[in-house]
Amino acid sequence: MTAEPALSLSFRRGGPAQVAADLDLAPGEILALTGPSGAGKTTLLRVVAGLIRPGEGRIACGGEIWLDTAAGIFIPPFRRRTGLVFQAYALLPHMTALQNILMAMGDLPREQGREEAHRLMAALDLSGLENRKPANLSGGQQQRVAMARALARRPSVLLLDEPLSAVDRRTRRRVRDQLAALREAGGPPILLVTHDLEEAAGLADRLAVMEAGRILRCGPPAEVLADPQVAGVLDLG
Amino acid sequence: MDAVAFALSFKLSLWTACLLAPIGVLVARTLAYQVRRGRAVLEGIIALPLVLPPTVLGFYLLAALGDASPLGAAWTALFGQGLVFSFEGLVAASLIANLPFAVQPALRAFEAIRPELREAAWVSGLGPWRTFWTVEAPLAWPGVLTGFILTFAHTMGEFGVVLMIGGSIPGETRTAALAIYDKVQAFDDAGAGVLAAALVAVSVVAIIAVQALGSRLARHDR
Repeated sequence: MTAEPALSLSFRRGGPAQVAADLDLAPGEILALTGPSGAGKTTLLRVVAGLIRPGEGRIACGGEIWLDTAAGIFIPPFRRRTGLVFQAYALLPHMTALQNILMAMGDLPREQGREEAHRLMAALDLSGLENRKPANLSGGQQQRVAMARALARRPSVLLLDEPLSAVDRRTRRRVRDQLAALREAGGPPILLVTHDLEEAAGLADRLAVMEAGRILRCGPPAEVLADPQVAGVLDLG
Repeated sequence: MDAVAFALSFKLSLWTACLLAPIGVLVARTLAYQVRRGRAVLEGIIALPLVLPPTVLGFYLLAALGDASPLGAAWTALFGQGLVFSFEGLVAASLIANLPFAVQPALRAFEAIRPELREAAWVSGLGPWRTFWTVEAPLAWPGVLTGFILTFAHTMGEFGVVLMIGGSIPGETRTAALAIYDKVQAFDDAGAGVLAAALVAVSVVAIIAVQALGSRLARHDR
């Protein structure tokens, strides 16, 4: 790991569903988050994206401070460079695939944005689907459009909420290849929520297991999965 | 047909619907996304004109807009003429009486937008204003337009509130609904019948439009 993490987060969220986490991620590092339902995995992603404001904490990403409750800093989600792929994709139903992707490129000149959007669509095997609306795309195609939109933001951190849970084998391979390419290129750190331990072990540099709102164990996947306590939580037989 | 009365109703309906549309959007959006506590109470207050007898609502509006009230006095000082028994007074009263017709369909439309669609816009770099135009307005417009049409149609037929605030001054406050009543009182059943048929036609067109918009909204919900 490098001396300067690309993403550094530490927060505590109170209330009935308490969630707390301390994590540092290096550039290009893929960290998979797993754990039982309700453990706080999606909450963690939403805190990083700025969609949930925790009671206390500090988040620094890409050299910027996004949250520092002690200093009264809270950068709203639209000023954070996060690429978030929602579990149900959250594509805008009234827009075409291309428009959904262009939406995340409002800061680029129009022509440059279009070129970049077409390049992303080609990389994710979406060429020819530019003018289709989400209702006319398969689940796998919708997932890849959501992925392209997240990448179109040129994010400082990529947040993926179960990206490979409900897609076909071909899409899984495409997305895995894309994530591997991002890691190779030293791209943004990636936080990936998954229930698929095989996927986590094959893709992630580190695996964090969450239970009841806290990180139980975090480290190389093989080590974490060998931990008897983790095996108990994840119900590994 | 009493074209003057019909035209006055049309003008009153158009003013009311146009002025209430942005107010309805603002109130509905605030209720849908920003009000956490006391929302049921606020919705109840907004819905009150639906269940209050129009004469009761008219009575309170008369008190609120009359020359003895601060609002009525300020209006008279500014424009040299009172709100009561004037067209402007009718518009003011119609705005209050029709608030639920404008707000409720818009509120249902804003509520129907899945929260993660707005969140997706935010994380894509769109601020609140651009999120409104990119996500909320394109998905909620059938509800807003439904509110516009319902407000328009309801104002066309408004009787009690209009009578209490405006009296029935020909050319100034005598709307189509009041003209029908006056004609029946004067045994002009034929004149009343023509005006009544015209109001039925407006209502039928409005209901067809609202149903078409409702099915469009349902398609967006998916």
